[in-house]
Amino acid sequence: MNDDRAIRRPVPEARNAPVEPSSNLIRLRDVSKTFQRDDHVVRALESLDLCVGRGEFVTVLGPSGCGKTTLLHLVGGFEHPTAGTVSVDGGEVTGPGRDRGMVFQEATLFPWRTTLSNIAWPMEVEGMGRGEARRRADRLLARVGLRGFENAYPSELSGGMRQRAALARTLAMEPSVLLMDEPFGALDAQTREAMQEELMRLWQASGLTVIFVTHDISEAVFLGDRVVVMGVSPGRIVEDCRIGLPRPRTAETRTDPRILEYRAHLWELLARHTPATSQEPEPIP
Amino acid sequence: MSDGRAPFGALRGAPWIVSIAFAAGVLAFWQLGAATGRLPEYILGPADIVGATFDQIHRGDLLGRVVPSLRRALSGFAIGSSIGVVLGLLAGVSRPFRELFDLTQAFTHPIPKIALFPAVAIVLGFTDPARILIIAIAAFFPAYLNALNGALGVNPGLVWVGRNVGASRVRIFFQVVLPASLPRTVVGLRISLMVSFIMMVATELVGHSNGLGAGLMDAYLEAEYGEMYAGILAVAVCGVLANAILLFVSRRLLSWQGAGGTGHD
Repeated sequence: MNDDRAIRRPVPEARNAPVEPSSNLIRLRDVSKTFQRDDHVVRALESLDLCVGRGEFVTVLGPSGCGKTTLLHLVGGFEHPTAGTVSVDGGEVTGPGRDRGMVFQEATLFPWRTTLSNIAWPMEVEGMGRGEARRRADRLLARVGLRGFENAYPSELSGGMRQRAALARTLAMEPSVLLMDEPFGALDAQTREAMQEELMRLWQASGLTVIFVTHDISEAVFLGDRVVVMGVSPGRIVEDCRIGLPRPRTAETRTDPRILEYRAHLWELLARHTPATSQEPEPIP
Repeated sequence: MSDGRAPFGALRGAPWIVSIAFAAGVLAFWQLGAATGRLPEYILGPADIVGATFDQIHRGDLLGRVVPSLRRALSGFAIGSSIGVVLGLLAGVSRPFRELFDLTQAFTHPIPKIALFPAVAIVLGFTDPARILIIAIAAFFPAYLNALNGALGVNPGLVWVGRNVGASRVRIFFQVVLPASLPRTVVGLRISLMVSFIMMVATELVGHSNGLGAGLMDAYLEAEYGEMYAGILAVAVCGVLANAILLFVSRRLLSWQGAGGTGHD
């Protein structure tokens, strides 16, 4: 592993052709990640290059085992690349940070804290006074539509409400990047669409840069400025597809006929890059 | 089959009625056996046991035994289980710690702790400190193992949230790992408490002691069966009360789990 790090070389800008406007916030350069599992090496990601512009909403779409969650963990600083560099806002990522807020598939609220106290926690950690943290948490709670559930414990909330609370707690860190790992994957179809529309409203008003991992094609198209499609064995980007749907996106956007075209295209891409035989499970963090 | 279940179905709203009815049935059967002389004379009926117990209370003997016994059991429990919880949680979050204790724990855990009593007595004699030490050692293991497994079973996502937020390791330990492993830790504490009562009696049976265990032994030697059963009843009542207090406290601590979250005793 150390050898791989040693031989990593900076990739010349020119060869790394995809347009890199100076406003890029997140850059992955020639990133590879391998895991040792039992007796074989799993190539989760191989020579991956990706840039995400400031304020951009990028969805990452791919079959299970394509390394999309690993990609998110690398940007989040929870895992480190075997080769290549990950940088955010010009600085190389060396570990987790408050500038990059993670939202997990399963809402990881603290079950012993109320909704309000969960949302206030990141601010308390930062050293903010309890009263001030609670006042700010209260505003965030209202922003995600949880007014009235301040004192409810997570076990008393529905799945959708838990994800709203988890999102509010992440926003409490005031991150510039949101990393979302299939956050609506466990919700029923109706709740999921409502959450997508709400996320669009929140994001539109926030200026946040978002990487959103999903395996749901419709979700990827509806949310993303770009859909990055990944393939398996090794995990790599097979297409970076710009979605030309107008902003802001609302429930009406779903009736746009172009959605069907994007869906058909992405469907075909995924089918081509999902070998029926190799259904490797997502690497466990 | 369905006929047999019907009465229980009707009682589903109040299951305690079934519990009480069963206990009352056992007592009535027992009392009947004793009253009709079908039981040997050394097995007293419930009424005689209760009578003997009140006798003992009136004479002040029982309280004189309960106080030193409880002092031993609770001191041993407090020392052993608190060390167990602290080390268990540390071993749960730190691999070096875990590996440090693992082998030692594996070899010492299966030893019946009462077997250590004579060895401890060589140094301390059959004294209170020796008894408390044995109780503490016995109380240590359930507390240690459950806290360890509680900490190992913490959803890693919760720890990731802590790291994401930039919380220090110490803060993550106290504000994430500790509360997250509390349900399991409390289970360990309750087992430790029961073990402490068992060891309390066991250590009091040996050597010149006072307390409930010693009272049982004296009653046996003097063939005072009433006194003996009163002692057993007193141990049972103390155990139930101590467990009820711990259960009450733990339900308070774990109220966020929702109704019935702490399981059944």
